[in-house]
Amino acid sequence: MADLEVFEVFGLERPGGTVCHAGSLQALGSDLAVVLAQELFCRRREYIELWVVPRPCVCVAPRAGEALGPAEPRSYRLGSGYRGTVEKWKLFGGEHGGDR
Amino acid sequence: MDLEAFEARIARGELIEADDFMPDAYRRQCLRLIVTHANSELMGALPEREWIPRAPGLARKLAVLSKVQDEIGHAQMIYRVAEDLAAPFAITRQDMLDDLIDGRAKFHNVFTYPAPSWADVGVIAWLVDGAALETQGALLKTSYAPYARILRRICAEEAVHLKHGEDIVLTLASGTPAQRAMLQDALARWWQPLMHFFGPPGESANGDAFRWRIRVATNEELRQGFLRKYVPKILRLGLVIPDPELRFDNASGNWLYGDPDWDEFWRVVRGGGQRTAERLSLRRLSRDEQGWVLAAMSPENAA
Repeated sequence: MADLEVFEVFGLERPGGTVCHAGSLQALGSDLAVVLAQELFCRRREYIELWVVPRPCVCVAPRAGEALGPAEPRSYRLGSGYRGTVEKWKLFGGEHGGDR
Repeated sequence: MDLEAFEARIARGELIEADDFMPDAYRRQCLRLIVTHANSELMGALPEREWIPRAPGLARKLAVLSKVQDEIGHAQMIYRVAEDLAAPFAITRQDMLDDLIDGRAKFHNVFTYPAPSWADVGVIAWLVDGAALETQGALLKTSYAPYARILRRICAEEAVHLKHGEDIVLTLASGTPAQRAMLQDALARWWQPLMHFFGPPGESANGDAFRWRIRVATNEELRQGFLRKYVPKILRLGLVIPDPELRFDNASGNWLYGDPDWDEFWRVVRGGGQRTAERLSLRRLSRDEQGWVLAAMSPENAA
């Protein structure tokens, strides 16, 4: 029996969107994998673009059990780390922040 | 990681991914449930497939054709989830299909019955898919994440099948006396299989399958959910449900029903369904006659 390979399928739902995992399939070679991916995941026009990737080509970061990234809080990377701007704008007149 | 740590993860409501540690017993239980589901999608396409050329009109033919295509697609996606689970046991998809065809693995009882009239197609798509949606909707909360993920897509498509079935049933119910009679006959044929659908009541909810959150609802909870949704609709259509003991019990909030002949259920489970052998032989024919396609496409046979 021929060797079937496993492929992971990723799809783009709408222009400007983000490609997300759609599912997984088994096929004989990448040409047939693309055909089967369309049959399996696009019967209702769910995606405008598909990426069909041989599973061994997907490199996965080790799972930590929680979100990946630096361990300690690093508020300087986030917009919420700069809430003080509202108060600082008040030094320059007006009751509200800088957007008014 | 040991059993205790695994159970602590389950207790915290965490989901288990394919490459996470899991005890062999958890893997086996998930695998049995998921393979039975895949087998049922594959076999479930057969009673309706017979109706593709006979469905009344092009629109109905297309709808039945697309439903059959959906069910086969579901089987493909679920076997894929099963393959990853089965890999440590060195079990392949081919082994699963061989087990099904040779009668070593189960598929759902409800797909062993004949569908002699067009009304059967409506009742199957409305009520059998409605029952399946009850079971699969509950399984969206299963602890095995790859299965839950694929069930979200499957449930969305099953919901379309249900609307399609509802449309057939409503058309027949509002049709000629002959159409209404055909619908009533089909309901009478399918009521017992539908009562059998969720399995016998009285199972323990304390077993591993529940403790590990592989399953989250008992047979009886699922059956009552089904009855609450569909009995009022069936009665509203003026149809007669062939169970004189069926009545709503205000005290418990449950539907009470007569014994749906659980001996018959067990006979079908053990492979004695009316169409079990015939439909499995159709699958055997597909395997034996189409194997050459795969062989011809394999790289070692390339010119």
